Amino acid sequence: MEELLLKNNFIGRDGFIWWIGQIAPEASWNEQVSGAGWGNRYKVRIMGYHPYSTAELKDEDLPWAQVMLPPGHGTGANNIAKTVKFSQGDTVIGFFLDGDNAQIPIIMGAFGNSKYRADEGDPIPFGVFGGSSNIIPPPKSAIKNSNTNDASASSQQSPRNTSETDARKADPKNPSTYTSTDGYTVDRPCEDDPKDKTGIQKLINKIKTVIEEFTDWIQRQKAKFDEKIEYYRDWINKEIDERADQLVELLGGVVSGMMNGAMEKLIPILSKGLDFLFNSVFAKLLAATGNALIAYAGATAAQGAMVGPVKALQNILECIVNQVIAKLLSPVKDILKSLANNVLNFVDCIADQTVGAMLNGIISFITEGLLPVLNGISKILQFFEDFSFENLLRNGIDALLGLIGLRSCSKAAKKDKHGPCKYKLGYGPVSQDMPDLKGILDNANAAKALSVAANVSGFPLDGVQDIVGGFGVFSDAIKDPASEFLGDVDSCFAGIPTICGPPKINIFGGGGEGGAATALMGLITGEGDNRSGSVIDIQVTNPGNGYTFPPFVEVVDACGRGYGCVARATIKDGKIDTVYVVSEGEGYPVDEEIPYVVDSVSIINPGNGYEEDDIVTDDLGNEYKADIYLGSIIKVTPINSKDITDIPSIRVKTATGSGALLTPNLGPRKEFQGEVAQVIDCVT
Amino acid sequence: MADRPLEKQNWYERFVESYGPNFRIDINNPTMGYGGSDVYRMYGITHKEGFKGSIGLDEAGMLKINSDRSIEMVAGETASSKGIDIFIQARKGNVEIDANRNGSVRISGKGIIIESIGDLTLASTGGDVNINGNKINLNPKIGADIQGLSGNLVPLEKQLLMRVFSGITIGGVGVDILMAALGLLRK
Repeated sequence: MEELLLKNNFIGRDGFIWWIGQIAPEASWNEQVSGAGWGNRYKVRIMGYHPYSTAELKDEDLPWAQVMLPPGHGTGANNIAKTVKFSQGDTVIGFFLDGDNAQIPIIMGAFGNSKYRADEGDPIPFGVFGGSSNIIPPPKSAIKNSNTNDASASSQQSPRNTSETDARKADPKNPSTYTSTDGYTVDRPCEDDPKDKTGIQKLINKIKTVIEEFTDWIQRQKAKFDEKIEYYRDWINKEIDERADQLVELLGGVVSGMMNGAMEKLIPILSKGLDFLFNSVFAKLLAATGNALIAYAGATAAQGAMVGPVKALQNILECIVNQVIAKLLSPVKDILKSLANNVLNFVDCIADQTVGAMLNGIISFITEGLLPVLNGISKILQFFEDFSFENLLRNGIDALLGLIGLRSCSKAAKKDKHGPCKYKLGYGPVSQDMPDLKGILDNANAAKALSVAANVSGFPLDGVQDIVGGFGVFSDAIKDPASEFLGDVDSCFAGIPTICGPPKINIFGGGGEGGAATALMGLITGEGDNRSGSVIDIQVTNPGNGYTFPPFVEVVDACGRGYGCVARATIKDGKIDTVYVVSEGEGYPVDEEIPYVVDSVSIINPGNGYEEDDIVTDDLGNEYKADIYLGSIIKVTPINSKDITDIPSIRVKTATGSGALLTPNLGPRKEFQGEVAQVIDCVT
Repeated sequence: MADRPLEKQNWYERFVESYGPNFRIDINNPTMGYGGSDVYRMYGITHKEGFKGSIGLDEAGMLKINSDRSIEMVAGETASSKGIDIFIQARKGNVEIDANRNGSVRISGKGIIIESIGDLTLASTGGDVNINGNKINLNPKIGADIQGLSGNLVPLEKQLLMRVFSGITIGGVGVDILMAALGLLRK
């Protein structure tokens, strides 16, 4: 009694009473959840003060604890506020405002949850529970459910900036991505290449890009549903419908181009045929009548009779183009279905086969559509025994190229400094070779010959192959490396690649050409087939010429395993001066690990304010000598050269300077060239 | 295929402010993406359907704005008329807009001016180029050319028929005159 009378029950007067407790289940502080509450209050079960049993003390009967706000959170005055948020089950620490009375607890902070925290369970006093609940439900997508606040890679994992397929390769347990579009290669508006006089090669590349994006999309769905096609068949059919529409729009340009090219070849044939017709009729009439005037009149009349049919041919051109485009939709859908079924990995020859199949479809439909009007001019064509309009379309690249847009004395198009018409979402422009039109057409002819031969033998090829030819893409054997099919048309293999070399470096754009470089690999991890690494430097092997802007640098992994390497080029006097790595990437296939040394240092930005006694080092223990001129770093020379398999980060210890960007150029250690025989002093 | 070794990833430099499962700001997350790792990424996820929208800067220096659904930018409701409500400028490269996947790029305005200091190209890859209006004015300073095998604007001598019958007279007259007489000159 005496002790109680002496107590003030006021913070600080009787000492300072700490406590550790646990936020009670949210049902007990529901009025704070519903928005009807006030303050920042939670029911807290405090160790040493409250029983372990809810039977002895219900959660609802626990005292309310107020939360002490840290500086910077604001009190709410003048609209300065930061929300306080604890979850049920959180372990908190605080003190009592009323000393030993222990009825007014104040929460000062909380203990963060660690990865060693047990999985959440049903709420029990001082047990492990909490996290997601009715008021804060678990994540529905992208963010992995997490109840920890560790300084670790596994705490509060965020989605990746990659495709689902790449995210799955890196971490099968957490394949979520920020956006489902990252990594798709798409077409981008770009200028014509001066070498592509008709624009048809650009058009074919656009078609190939759509095919690549489609096959990539298919692979993502397959990865998501572990090849169980029944879960995504409807999505695939919808995708095929949309892609077919897109491709048919693009193919319209090919149809009109081919028609134009074929007509340009047909015009001189018809002119020559009219001459033959005149001579033939004239000779016959002369022989019959012996009268040259009658023969001449008859011959010219025979020619005149052809005006109508030739005009009919001219009139039907536009109509045929539209008819062919309309007819293409169905076979294009069939082709896409085969791609979806048979291709596991996009390779360029798959796109070439697909384009070839479409060309065969176009040729068939044009030939079929023109048949009536060609019959009308058969009197002209009769003089050419081997004439076949289909052969006119098939034999020779000029029919494919067409003549639309052919420039005569027009000024030449400038080369697009921004590179080809291909863009990888989340990354930037990527390289694209000009399509091999002759190869595509040759393969198309060979594939058509296969289907014709099959027809003749009485065993026609399945489905659309009858129209578009017997390409490997229509067989699931194309994903089998041991298949005999691969040797038939163009040895195209669309299965999962088994042999992967280090990534290749493509340099494109910038207005120049000839630049080449190789990747130096390091940061190797994993064993056996799972060995992978990062690009720690890029060595220029050919500086090229004619560059007016720094070209793009693309890191290409033929097996599609690596990603994330970003590099930039600098140019000097029209040549590539250096290529430096901005981001090393990860997951690239590697050969043997080779240690490198810092050969030299490129100065991307000389900065300013530096002084002579500033020290240049890197995080791997190398030291450098820096030459400073008017506060800028103009030269950096490695002093020592440790073996490294990582990217050195070069730093300048300076009190005054800023802005310098120095990048190391790595290379293999040069061979020891023997002892120093004699030192010649050239100075003194 | 595999993440870089953990000891080569700087997770200590990472900051995350996660406001529940629907909004997060993630700074210096070393997880690799196509453009390198992120300097920061701020994103939200819709409650019902899980659509994501994000804005972030990657190590390659690209500021990315993504939305699983749509993006809307509106400006100028209280600005003065005839001012500039939205201005977009590319300092050194192109402005590229792409709706290739079965979409159209639509520009609508009281008036539309497309002005080029170099060549101006209107091209349709696989379709027609349509110009509609009360009147079409073409005012070239030097010349105007048209190519084609048929159509009203293609000069007769360039059309397929005339090229086939080039140099041929029928009954002493050219094919063009004959066709005019027969009413075949135009489709």
